[in-house]
Amino acid sequence: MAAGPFGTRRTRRLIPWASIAIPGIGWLLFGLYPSLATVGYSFTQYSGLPGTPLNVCGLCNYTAAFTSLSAQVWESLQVTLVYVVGVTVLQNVAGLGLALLLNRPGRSYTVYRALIFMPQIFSVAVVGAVFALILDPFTGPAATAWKALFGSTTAFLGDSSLALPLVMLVNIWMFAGYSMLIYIAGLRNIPKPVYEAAALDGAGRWRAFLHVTWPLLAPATTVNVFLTAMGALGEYALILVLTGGNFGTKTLGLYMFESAFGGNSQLGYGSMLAMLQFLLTLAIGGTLLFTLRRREIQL
Amino acid sequence: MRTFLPVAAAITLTLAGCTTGGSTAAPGAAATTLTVAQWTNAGAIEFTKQLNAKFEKAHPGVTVKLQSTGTANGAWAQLANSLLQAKSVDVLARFAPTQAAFPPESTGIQPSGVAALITAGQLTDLKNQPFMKNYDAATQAAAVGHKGGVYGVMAASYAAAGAIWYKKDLLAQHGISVPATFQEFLDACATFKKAGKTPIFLSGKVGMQGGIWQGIENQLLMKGREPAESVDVSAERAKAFWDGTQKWTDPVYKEIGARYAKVMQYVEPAASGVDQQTAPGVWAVKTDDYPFLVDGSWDGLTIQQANPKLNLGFFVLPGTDDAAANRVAFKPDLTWVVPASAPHKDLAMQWLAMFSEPDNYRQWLRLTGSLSAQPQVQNTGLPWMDWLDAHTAGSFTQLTPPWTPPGAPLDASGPDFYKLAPIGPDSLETILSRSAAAYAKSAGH
Repeated sequence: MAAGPFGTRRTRRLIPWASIAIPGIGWLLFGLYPSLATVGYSFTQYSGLPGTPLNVCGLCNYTAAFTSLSAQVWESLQVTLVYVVGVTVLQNVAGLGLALLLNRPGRSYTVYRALIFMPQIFSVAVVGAVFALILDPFTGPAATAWKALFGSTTAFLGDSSLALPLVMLVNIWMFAGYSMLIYIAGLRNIPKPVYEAAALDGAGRWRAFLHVTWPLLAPATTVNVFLTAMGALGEYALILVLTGGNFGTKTLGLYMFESAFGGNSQLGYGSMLAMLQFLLTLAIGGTLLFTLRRREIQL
Repeated sequence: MRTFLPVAAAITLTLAGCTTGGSTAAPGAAATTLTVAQWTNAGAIEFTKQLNAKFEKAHPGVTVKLQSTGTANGAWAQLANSLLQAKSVDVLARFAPTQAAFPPESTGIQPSGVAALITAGQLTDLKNQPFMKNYDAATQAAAVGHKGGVYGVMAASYAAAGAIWYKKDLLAQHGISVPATFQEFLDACATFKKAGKTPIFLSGKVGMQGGIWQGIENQLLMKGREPAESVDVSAERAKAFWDGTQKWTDPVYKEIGARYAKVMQYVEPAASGVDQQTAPGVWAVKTDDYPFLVDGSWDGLTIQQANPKLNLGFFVLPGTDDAAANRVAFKPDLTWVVPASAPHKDLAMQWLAMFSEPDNYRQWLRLTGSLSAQPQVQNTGLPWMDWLDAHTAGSFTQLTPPWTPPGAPLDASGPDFYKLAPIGPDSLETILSRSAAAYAKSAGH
């Protein structure tokens, strides 16, 4: 049996299996196992600290979430839904607007696109810390600008009516560049003759956008809306750094993080919240995919 | 299943570089590394570094590694848990659990945090260690004791409830002395307001306004009680809440709320956007305004570093109109524990013994501004501690909130200061009713 560059025929047959096995083991250890463990923990009152008992309690955490502690769960659910809808809509509007504006040839446009995408690569903690400083009512530049514009002071992230919109804006600032790139890819896939045909039919820029660009961007919209919604659903780190979940910004993700890993953590209760979040993600994600895919087919 | 996730978290945190500090030995010099971990507090970290150097000198071949991170955003809790999971820490700082962390079994509430570690036998009982003789046994037992054992050394306690820093020169300029009654405090604020000043500054973003409520609450509930009874007062209240015989809408809480509102009218309107990390510095450098800062006594060094020239003073908000009842409530704070899994338990005990030596402990007090937990060591006599030194005699352990099950709404354990006016949009009545309903629901009434 002659040995080729990848060993004998027998060893060559093993290569695909080995290629799958290595990431497969990684996924089993760091993907599936923690997920299953979370399901298990959700039926316990485990503190999460080493050596402490599991305290298996069946459905106690789930019961509490829908009875004695329902107010907190419901409040965080409401905040989560506002956050997800707000971020998804605004980020896609911003991403699309930027894509239409910057989908042009030229070095300067390449630089602009890179600059707008840049926040995406920053750490959430760094972005949060920087914006917390910018929005400090005494030392931040935003306070100076606010005073110049309105002649008054505001607490920004400490104001219950401003905190959630501001956190959403920071989130959008950070990730709008990503949406922009996907929309640009979508725009570049639209054949030029379609625009030429529309122009011959007398369509202006707005009608061309409405009847050509927007429908043909459907695949990009599906990807963008789905990814943005899923990202916003899982967001907690940015909110944690900016407001600590106070002033009406406690999403389900942050409530889960606080419960599972806060000062007096109860990993069991936090795991139950993680399961609720998983179900919510499944419901929203599934509905979005189904609706958006159907829209693509109809178009 | 129980160990994998936390270990993964430990690895992740370590890789993410969450730990800071630490001294490194010369190559080949040290065979043993003692690991000490504590959260970032400028004075405490400075002291620990000094002590570690001293310990290394006294124990050739031993290197002390200091691991530290800030308490903000849950970073410290993550680091401490990761170190425990990795079984790599010998001496670990924790917040004193106090007796409130051990609800009776009949409540069905599982202990969490340090209390969970104690009940699971994961912390070493230090009761019979020789260095424990330096500390007041009753105070230590109240802070970190359980079923006859003492599972840590409560090394620092601070005035937190109603703690107020003030600018001595500013008060002197307006002929105001440190207020001894609630009305005197309000009068002082009114005088400053009339002079165009904003009387009170605080970090509302992290809920420091709660200190005002707690200050009044502690003094009102402890009125006429002996300092040693504070643990009983806390326990009685917790039981009464659990039984449903007391609630947040009771007249005493309405009175506290009314007083809170009177004080809050003098707070900087944009205070709710101020972070605790910037508040002491902003306040310290603004020498011509904000005579009062609501902040715990642990921030002395931070304030002095921000403005070394500031003539700094400290007192506790007088919550009642009876000067004798306006006593200091001190909060048990940093507590050294030795995990059962500590790799170098004997060395950890030697480190704690060195920490507890009166000379070293005195230096600890000097740098942290903590109240002394050792009867034979007096408070440090730092210039700003003059009022505190004169008023420590009747001080008592800060009252603890009623028992609440894990995940209970913030409202259940007391008013939500982020929502209570003027920081938040809700009235006192709404807030107290919501707290009462949340508690009743959480406790299954």
